[in-house]
Amino acid sequence: MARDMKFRLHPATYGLDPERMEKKFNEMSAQGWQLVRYGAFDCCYRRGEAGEYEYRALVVKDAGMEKLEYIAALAELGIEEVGSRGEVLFLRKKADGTPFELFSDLDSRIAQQKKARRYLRRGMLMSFFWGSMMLMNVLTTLMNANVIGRYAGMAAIRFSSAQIILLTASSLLLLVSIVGLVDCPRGLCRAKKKIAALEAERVVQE
Amino acid sequence: MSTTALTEAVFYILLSLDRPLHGYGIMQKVEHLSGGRVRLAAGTLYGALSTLTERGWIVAPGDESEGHRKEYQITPAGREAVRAELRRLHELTDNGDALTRLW
Repeated sequence: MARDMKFRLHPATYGLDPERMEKKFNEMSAQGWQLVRYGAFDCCYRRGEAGEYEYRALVVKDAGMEKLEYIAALAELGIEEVGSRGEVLFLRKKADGTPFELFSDLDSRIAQQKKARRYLRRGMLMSFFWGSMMLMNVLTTLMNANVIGRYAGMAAIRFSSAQIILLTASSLLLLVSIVGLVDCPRGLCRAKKKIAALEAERVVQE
Repeated sequence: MSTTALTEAVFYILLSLDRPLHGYGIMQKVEHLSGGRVRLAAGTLYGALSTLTERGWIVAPGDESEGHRKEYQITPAGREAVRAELRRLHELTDNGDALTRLW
């Protein structure tokens, strides 16, 4: 019997490109895999009909009450929340032949792209900061192990168990930061281009 | 008095809130008022409702407990914003009519 659930790990980055995630979920939906939960470290997909749901990523102003109010308000319109990451909400709506649009005018589209730009900028800075810290951690641990090894007269580098734990944790966080550092700038470039195009359109029409 | 032009979405939302309405009700009323031309998407509607509430142009009166849907209603400041927008629109149409009559 074919499996009905599928789990996919994802890096819990400090920032991710919401539009890339939206595209990925819609591609999975087209293949018959519906995202049912976006967790802290993994995505859970359920086998369903191809194109059964349409997915959208929405960036809200803050991750607190506004997010909760938004989720409650959208639920009234048949829009479900499947998960979130900071200020980014992942939403889905059953495909009913009408396009699933979250924004219907230029101003709200511009505002959404500006929120995405702010989110991606912060994600990039956080990834850079934590990436640098973790890189320093990894290098320091490696240097310490080397120095200790030499003092002990051992040819090979020996790690203590504490160093192994520190090195593993730091390396994982470094990898996560690198993913953020690659993902955020791409999203940022796209958001900037979209804002410029929408603002140019805004000059002549509401 | 506000001299800023309102967006079509905001103008119709304010017009539709003479009586308390919840989100879906606003969407339907706006579509009806505009003869089906203006269809508000969820993100646009709730973004506008949040901004209008912050400005004090609409309020969410009533009981929000027990999972009741949040309803909104226009305030006197909101009504004044609509009147100011109507004056601006009249000026546009008057000037437009006066000049295009000569074409």
